[in-house]
Amino acid sequence: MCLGAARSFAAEELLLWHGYRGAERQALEWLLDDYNRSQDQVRVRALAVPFGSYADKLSAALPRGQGPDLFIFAHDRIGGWASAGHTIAPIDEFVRPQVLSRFPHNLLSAMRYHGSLYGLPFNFKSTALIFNRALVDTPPHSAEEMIALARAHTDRQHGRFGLAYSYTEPFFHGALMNAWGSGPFDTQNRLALDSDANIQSVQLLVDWVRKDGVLPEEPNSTLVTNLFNQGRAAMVISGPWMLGEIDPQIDYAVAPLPRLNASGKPLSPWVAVEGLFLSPWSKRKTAAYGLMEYLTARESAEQMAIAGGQLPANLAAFEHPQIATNDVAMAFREQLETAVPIPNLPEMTLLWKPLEITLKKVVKGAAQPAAALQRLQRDLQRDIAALQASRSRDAAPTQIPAWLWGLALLLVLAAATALLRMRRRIAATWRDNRTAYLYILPAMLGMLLLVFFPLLYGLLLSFTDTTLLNENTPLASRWLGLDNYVGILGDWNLWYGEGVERSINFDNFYWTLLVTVCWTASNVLLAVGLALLLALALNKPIFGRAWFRVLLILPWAIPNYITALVWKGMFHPQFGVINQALQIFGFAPVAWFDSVGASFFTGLVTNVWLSIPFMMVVILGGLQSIPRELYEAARVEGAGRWFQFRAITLPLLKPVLIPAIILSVVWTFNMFNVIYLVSGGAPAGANDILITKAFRIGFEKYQYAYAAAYSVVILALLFCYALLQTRISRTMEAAR
Amino acid sequence: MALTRFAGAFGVQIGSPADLCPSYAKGDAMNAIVGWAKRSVPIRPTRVGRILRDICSWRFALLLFAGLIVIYPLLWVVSLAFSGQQALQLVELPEGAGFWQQLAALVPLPQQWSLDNFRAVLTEQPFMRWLFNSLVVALSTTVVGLGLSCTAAYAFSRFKFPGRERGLMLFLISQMFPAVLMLIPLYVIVVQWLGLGNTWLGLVLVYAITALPFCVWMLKGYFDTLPYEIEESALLEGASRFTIFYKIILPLARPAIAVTGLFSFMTAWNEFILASIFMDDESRYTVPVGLRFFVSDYASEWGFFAAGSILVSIPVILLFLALQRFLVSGLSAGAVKG
Repeated sequence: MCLGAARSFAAEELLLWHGYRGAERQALEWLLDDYNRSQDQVRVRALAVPFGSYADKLSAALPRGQGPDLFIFAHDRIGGWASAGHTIAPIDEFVRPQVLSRFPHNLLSAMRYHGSLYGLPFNFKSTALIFNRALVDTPPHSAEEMIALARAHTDRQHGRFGLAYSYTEPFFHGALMNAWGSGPFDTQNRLALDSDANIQSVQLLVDWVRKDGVLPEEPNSTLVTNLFNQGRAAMVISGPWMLGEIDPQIDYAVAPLPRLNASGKPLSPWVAVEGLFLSPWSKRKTAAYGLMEYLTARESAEQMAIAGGQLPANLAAFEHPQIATNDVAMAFREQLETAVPIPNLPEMTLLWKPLEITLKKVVKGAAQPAAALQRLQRDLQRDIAALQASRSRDAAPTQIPAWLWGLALLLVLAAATALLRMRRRIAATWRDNRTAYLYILPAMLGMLLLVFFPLLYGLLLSFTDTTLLNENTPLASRWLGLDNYVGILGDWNLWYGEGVERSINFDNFYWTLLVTVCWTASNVLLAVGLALLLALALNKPIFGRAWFRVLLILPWAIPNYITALVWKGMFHPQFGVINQALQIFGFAPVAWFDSVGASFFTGLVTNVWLSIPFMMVVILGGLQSIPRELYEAARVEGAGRWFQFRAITLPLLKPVLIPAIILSVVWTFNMFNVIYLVSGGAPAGANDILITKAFRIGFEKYQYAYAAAYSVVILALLFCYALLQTRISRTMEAAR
Repeated sequence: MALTRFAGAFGVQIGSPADLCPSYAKGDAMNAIVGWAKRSVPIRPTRVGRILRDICSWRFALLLFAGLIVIYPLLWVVSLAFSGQQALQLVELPEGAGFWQQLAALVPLPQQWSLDNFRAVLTEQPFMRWLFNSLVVALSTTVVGLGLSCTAAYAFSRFKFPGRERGLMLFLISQMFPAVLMLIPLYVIVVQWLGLGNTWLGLVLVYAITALPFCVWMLKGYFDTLPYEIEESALLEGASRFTIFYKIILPLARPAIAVTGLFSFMTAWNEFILASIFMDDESRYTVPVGLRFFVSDYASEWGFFAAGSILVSIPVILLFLALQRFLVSGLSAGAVKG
C-alpha cells in the first residue's frame, strides 16, 4: 500500500484530453487504467471536455503553454493548428516505421500536413448507406439504381422518402464531389470549387432533390433519424454515430455507398479521422508518444471497437472474431477503401459555412449550380488571399511607425502633467467624496481587471491584421492601423450582380446593420410591451396567480440551448408543428427559412419568448415601488384605468424600466445564440446580425482582427445609443 | 422628478421596514396599515364567486393564452425527456380525422412514458456532484455580485460626486463588447495572471463581474425611487451612512435585490464555455458543462439533454418560489409583514 503510493508519487503525470462520453469513454478509461498498472514511469490522467467547448479550450490553453500533453481530436484542424504554431508538434522524430504500418494509407495521409506527421490516427468516421431491410432487400449497386429505388419509396404527400440525408451539409456532399473529381481543392491544393467536377456534383444533387424529388426538405440529422425510425425513409446516408439512435424495432443493414455510373467512380464519402496529437509544450514528449503507440496497438484498438463501439484506425482489429462477424462494422470498414479524408488545409474551415449556404440556395432553385459555385469560388478566394496576406507580412516584419510611438509618449506625458497639475484638485475631490468612491471602488476594480483589460486587448487587436496564421507573432509585426475600419465602414457594395440578377449583397456591413437595428427594435418593443402587460395582469390577485407566475418564468429557467432548438424544429417547413397547425386551420404552409421576412420572424418569436420572463420579473419588482395609495387617490378623483397607467404606473416604473430597456437593447443587439441556433442567418446570411457576422469572420474565416474591429464598431454603435437614450430620458425628466 | 418625490413620501409600506427602524418610519407604516385596512373593507364575495369572476376577466384570458404559448415548446422538452428516446416522434396528422382530432395530434406526447433518460443522466455522470458545484458557484456569484452592486448602486443613487454619470456609463460599456472575443483575454487574466484556473473563485469573479452592470443599474434605478426623507431624519439622529444603507435601504429594496439576485444566479447557472475552459478537473465541472457532453458534432443525445435540462431548471424554480414573495404586491405582501 505504502509502496504503491510512493511509486505513484514518483511517476510522471501525463495529461490526456478527449471529448468522449458513454461507452467510448468507458473503454478509453479501462485502457488507461491498464496502462497505469502496467508500468510505473508515467501515470496518465484523462480529462473529458464537452465537444461544444473543446476547440475553444484547446486554442485558449495550448498556445499559452498550458493544457494537456496529448489530446484526441478530429484531424481536419491540423492545418490550422500547424500554421498557427505552438499548438501541435510533429511526431516524426519519435515514430517508428513498424507503427506506421498499422494504419491504412488514407488515414495516415489525414495526419500529414506539409510533409510532417502530426499524430497517429485513432479511429475513423465516415458515412455509408444505411437501409431499412423491411423496405429494401439488397443495397443498390449504382447511384442511378439507388435513386430509382428511392423514387419507388417516395410519397411526399405522406412524408415518405426513398432517401434521406443532410445533403446541404458539405460533409455529406463530399461523397458526390469526390465521385466526380478531387473535391473542393485541386491536386495542388488550390481552391477549385468552380471546377466542372464540382459543378456536376451539385447539378446531380439538384436533380435528386428537384427532379427526382426523393429527398426531404430542410434536412438535418434529427429529421433523418426520425424519418428512418418511423419507417418513413427507406435509405439514409449517415455514419456510425447514428446507429445508437436507431429504433430497435427497425431491421437495418449498412452497405458502402454505390458507384456513380455517370462518372464511373464510387460515391466516396469524406472520412473524419480522430487522431492522437502531441502538445509542443509537453515536457514528457517521449512518454506521451509511448502512450500514443499503446493506444493504437492492436489490443487497444480491439477494445475501443468492442467496448467503445469505435471504428479503430488500426485495421488489424477488424480481424478479431467479434468484429469480423459484425456486419455493420465490416461495412464501414469496406467503405473506408473508397473514403477520402477531409482535407486538413486551414482553408477548409473557411469553406464549410459558405458552401452550405450555397448548397441550400441551389437546391431550393434560388441559384444555378455553375453560377453559384463560381461566385462562391470568387468570394472564398478573396478570403483565402486575405488570410495568406497576413502570413506573407510576417515574413518581412514591419515596425510600428515611429510617429505612433511618439504619439503614445505624448499622450502619457500629457496625462502625467495633467495629473501633476490637478493633483490638489484630485486630492480634494477624493476627500470630499471619499465615502462614495469607497462604495464604488470594489466594483470598479473588478470591472477594470476583468472587463476593461479584455476590451483594450480587443481594441489593440482591431488595429492589426491578426489571423490564424500570424496569431503568435509579436504584435508590432502585425500592426495595420485603421485598415480594418476602413474595410468595414467603407464597404459600399450594397448590390450583387447586374441587371435581372441584381440582388442585395447580404454580406454588406450596412445591410447587416439594418437587420440588427430592426432585430433589436422589434425584439425589445415586443418583449417589454408583452412583459409589461403580463406583469400588470399578475400584479393584482387573481385565481391561480402563483401558478401563472411560476409558469411564465419557465422559459428563463430551462437552458435556452434546447428550447431554441425546439423552436427551430417547430418551424420546420414540412414536419414542424407550426406549419401543420396552419394547415389544420386551412392556411398554406410557410417556407420559414426561405425568405428574409419569414426567417426574421422565426428568430423574433423565439427570442421574445425567451426574454419575456426576465423582463416580467424586472417589471414585477419595479411595480413594487409604486404605492397603492396613489391609485386610490386617482380613483377618488375619478381617473380611469388608462389614465392611472399613464400618469402613475409608467412614470413610477421608469427608474427601473429605463435601465432594463437600455440593457436589453445591448443584449439583444449582441444576441448570438438565438440567431445562430434558430435561423442560422438563413437565407444566405441575410438574417445575420452584426455579432453573428463578427463570429463568422473571426472563427469561420480566421480573421481575428477584422472580427475585433467589427466588435469595436458594435461597441461604438451601442455607446452612441446609450448616450442618446440617457440624454433623452434626462431631458424628459427635466421637462416634467 | 417631482412625481417621484411625491411617490416616495408614500412609498414606505413596501416591504415595510417599520420593524427594523421603528422611530423613523412609524408614521408611514401607520399609513400603510390604514391603507391595507381600507382595501379589505369591500364586502367579500364567496370563494367560488370570486374564482368565477377571475376566470371571466380579460386578465385571466391573457394569462391563460400566454401560459399556453409558454408551455407548448416546453411540452416538447418534457415529452422528449420522458420518452426514454433520443429524438421525438414527428407529428403525423391523422388522415381524414376531424379538426379537433388533428389539433390533438399536435400535442407532443411520448409514445410511452419512461424515466430512462433521467436515470441515464443521473448515473452516467457525477450529475449530483456537478449540480452541487453549480449551486456553490451560482450562490457565491449571487453573494459577491450583490455585495459589489448594492454598495456601488447606493453610491450612484445617493451621492453626488464628480464622475458619477461617466462611472455609470462605464458599467454599461462592459456589456457592449461581444463576449466571444473576451474568451482569450479572460483566460489570460484569470488562468495565467491570477492563477485562478481550475478554481471556483476564478469563475465566481468572472460571473459576478459579468452580472454587475445590470445589477448596478437596476438597483440604482430602484434606490432612486426610495424616499430620501427617512435617510435625512436618520442622519439627523446621528446614524452613519453605513447604518442607513444596511438597516434602511437594503430592507426597503428587497424586491430589487430579489430580481438582481435571481439575475446573478442565472448568469452563473447556465454558463458553460468559461466553466469548461477554466476547469481542468472533472470533479469541478458545473452542471451545464456536464449537459453539453450530450451534444456533439455528429450525434446528439437530445433525450438526455432534455432530461438534464429539466433537472437543471428545478433549483431555479425553487429559488424563484423562495424569492417571489418579494416580487408580489397586493394583499398578501401586506399581510405577511403584519
